[in-house]
Amino acid sequence: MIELKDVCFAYNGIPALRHIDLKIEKGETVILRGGNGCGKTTLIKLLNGLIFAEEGEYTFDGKPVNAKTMKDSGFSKAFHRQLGYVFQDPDAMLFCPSVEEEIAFGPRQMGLSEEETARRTEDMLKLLGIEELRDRAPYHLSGGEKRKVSLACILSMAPSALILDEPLAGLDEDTQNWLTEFLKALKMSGKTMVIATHSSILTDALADRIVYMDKDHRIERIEKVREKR
Amino acid sequence: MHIPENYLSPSTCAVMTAAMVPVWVNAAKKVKTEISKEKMPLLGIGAAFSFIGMMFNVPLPGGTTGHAVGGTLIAVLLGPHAACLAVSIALLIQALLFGDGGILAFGANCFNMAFLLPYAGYAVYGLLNRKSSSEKGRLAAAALGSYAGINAAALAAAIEFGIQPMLFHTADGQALYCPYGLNVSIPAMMAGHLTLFGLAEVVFTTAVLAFVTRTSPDIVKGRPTERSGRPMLILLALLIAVVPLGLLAEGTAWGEWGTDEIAEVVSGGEVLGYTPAGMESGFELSTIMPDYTVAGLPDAAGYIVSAVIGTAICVIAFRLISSGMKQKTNYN
Amino acid sequence: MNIPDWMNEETEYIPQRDREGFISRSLLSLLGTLSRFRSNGKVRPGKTAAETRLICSLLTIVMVSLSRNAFFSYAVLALLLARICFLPSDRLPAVIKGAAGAAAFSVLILLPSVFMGSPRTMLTVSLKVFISAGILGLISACEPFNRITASLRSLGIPDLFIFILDLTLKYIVLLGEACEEALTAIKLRSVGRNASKEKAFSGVLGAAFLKSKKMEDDLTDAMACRGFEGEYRPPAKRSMTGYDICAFTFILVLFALFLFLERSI
Repeated sequence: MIELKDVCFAYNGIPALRHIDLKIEKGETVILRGGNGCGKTTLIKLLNGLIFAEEGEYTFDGKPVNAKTMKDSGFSKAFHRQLGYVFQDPDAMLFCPSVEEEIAFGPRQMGLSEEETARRTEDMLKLLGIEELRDRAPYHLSGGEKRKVSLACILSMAPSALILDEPLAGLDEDTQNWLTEFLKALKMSGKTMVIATHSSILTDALADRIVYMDKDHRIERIEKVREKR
Repeated sequence: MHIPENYLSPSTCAVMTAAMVPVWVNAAKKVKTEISKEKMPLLGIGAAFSFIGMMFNVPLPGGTTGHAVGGTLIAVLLGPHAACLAVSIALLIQALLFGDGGILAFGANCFNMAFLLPYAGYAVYGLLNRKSSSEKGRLAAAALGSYAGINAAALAAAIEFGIQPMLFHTADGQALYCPYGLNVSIPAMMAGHLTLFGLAEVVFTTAVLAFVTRTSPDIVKGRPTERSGRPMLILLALLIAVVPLGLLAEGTAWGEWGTDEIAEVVSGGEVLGYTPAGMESGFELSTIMPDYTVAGLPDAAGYIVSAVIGTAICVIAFRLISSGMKQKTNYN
Repeated sequence: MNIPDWMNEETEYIPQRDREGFISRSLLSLLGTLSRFRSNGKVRPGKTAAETRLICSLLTIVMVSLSRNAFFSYAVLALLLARICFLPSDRLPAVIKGAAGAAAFSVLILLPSVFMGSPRTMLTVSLKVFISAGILGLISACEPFNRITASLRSLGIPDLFIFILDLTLKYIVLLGEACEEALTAIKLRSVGRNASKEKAFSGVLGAAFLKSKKMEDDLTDAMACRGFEGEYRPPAKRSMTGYDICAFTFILVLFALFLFLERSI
């Protein structure tokens, strides 16, 4: 589903990604690990189509993702719908006046009918256990509640692949456990996921493979944890 | 060797400019692929050297003056296409800001000094340099190449001048533009350039080339770094400081007389006696510092200030081009 | 946990057309401003004090503006261009673009004077604008912003004002980065047609405003914890060095030239 062939990227001549080769199958969960400054954030930006490889190729679902193909707004919109990105800082992601509107933003954009939008919104609120927050403003919520809303507003678009950047950061233990279970359920339902995390709980629960990046901005090694079911 | 305004008919100017367009386009294309982001600032320094070289007037006994151009020098260091662009930029700044060389005649001037000079000079240099591989051999090849180049340019200029009275004259035979035919222009231009002015070009080329080979050998090898240009900038600064020497040579270069002087010019024992009509009512661009001087002040001051401004614009222009280029990153 | 069926349906989604270039444009202009701050953040302070640089630059600008002799302007232009030649490659384009932009603007405004018969006015004024903008651009290219704000003290600006100026610069960067992230999030989620774009935009600004309020509260608490009780005590000024003396001597020479040229008019 996601294929990176010898991808290289540099900021102003300073290499940030060197010769990245990675193939992620559909339904696979890959954990991304690496110290600060190793290129994780750059890789995530590249996977999301926010920056483009200077050398090498990036293919998503069989279609190439580069500056040229992303110029077509039809292609880029369809791409962004298929690949959801949950930011590390929920504050950056939430910009609607109420939680309900936040979740409904995606489906409304997609042109779905009002009933379908409402159905999806209700399902999301129930699934993430945030029904009583539906009329609240997102920026007034606690850290854990914000995290749930940010997940909901991405999932309401029904992406087939997800990228999560440190999803457990700033959450208390109960919420962390809850989120781990939730991501497990998502994995079982067949979603492809790339998760940048340092948490061993999440890794043990979800990882099919672990990708380690080193200070040289290369992939140091890829560990196979379990056979894909 | 700068052809001033109104010495060539507009049709001649148009033809020469049209001839230069494909040369410029080709040179730009080649430079884009051959010159990396790191080398581009050197083009600016090359253009600056050419600009300065053209400010040092060398006198020829008999009253005319000439100057070096340095096109072959740039061709040896960075390739003939780079030399074409660098000299064109220097000529453009001279024409637009200082009135040295006409605007309409810009195409013709570029044809002579930015096309014929560097390409011919480089061809000769290439032929000779293949035989030897020593530093002395390279200098000699460059010397001969630059001599060939500047004379090719001078010959072309002479021809452009010389055909004017034949093609463009009034009913009673008075020339509209340049009044001297081929039988006068060719000997007049070549006399200076085959001797003193050619020597000036040779000296300029070999001296600077030797300096660069000694101080920044990485440029000669084709792998410059960001600091490579520093010694050349220092040499430029020194040349700027002594640029008023170029004012010592009195007399106007052949073919560069002003509208007010041309009637008095003596050639072959005869005074011209009239001002060609095309010059009297021709196009005139008012520039910021005509002839590199400012009214009311010693010429030397204006000369130095002009030299600094012209040089700086050359260097800055190419550094701006360099900053817009993509950097080639080494991922290994 | 029951994952609803619609989440796993493989649908072929064909997006509707919409005009959302404004998100990318806003992002680009925001990033442009931020990158200017970031590149200034990399500047190491020079050997001359920022105060000296500021005062000398302002004096030069005043002299150029007052001078009625074209040669003085050309001489200063020569010095300015020579200095710009030696700027590092990442700062040179910004200085030239700033100066050229300002000069182009004044050419545009003064174009009518050419048709009214005095083209000299347009050239003279544009030249002086170029020089002034270039000198100011040089200051920001060679001094980090925090040194420049500190040097305003030498112009007699009250310390508290400078403190607030410094904080403003800090928050421009921090809030700018927050807005950058938010705009990126909107861009990623704009997968179709958005009937009410203003809502998304105002959401970003609202979130930025609330974030700034939170930062302000945090700052007040932090300052209280470090002993602030309402009076701002600035750090001591540094003494003059040899480089400062050179700079002032140079300005004196320039002033002498200015007087000489004015006299000869």
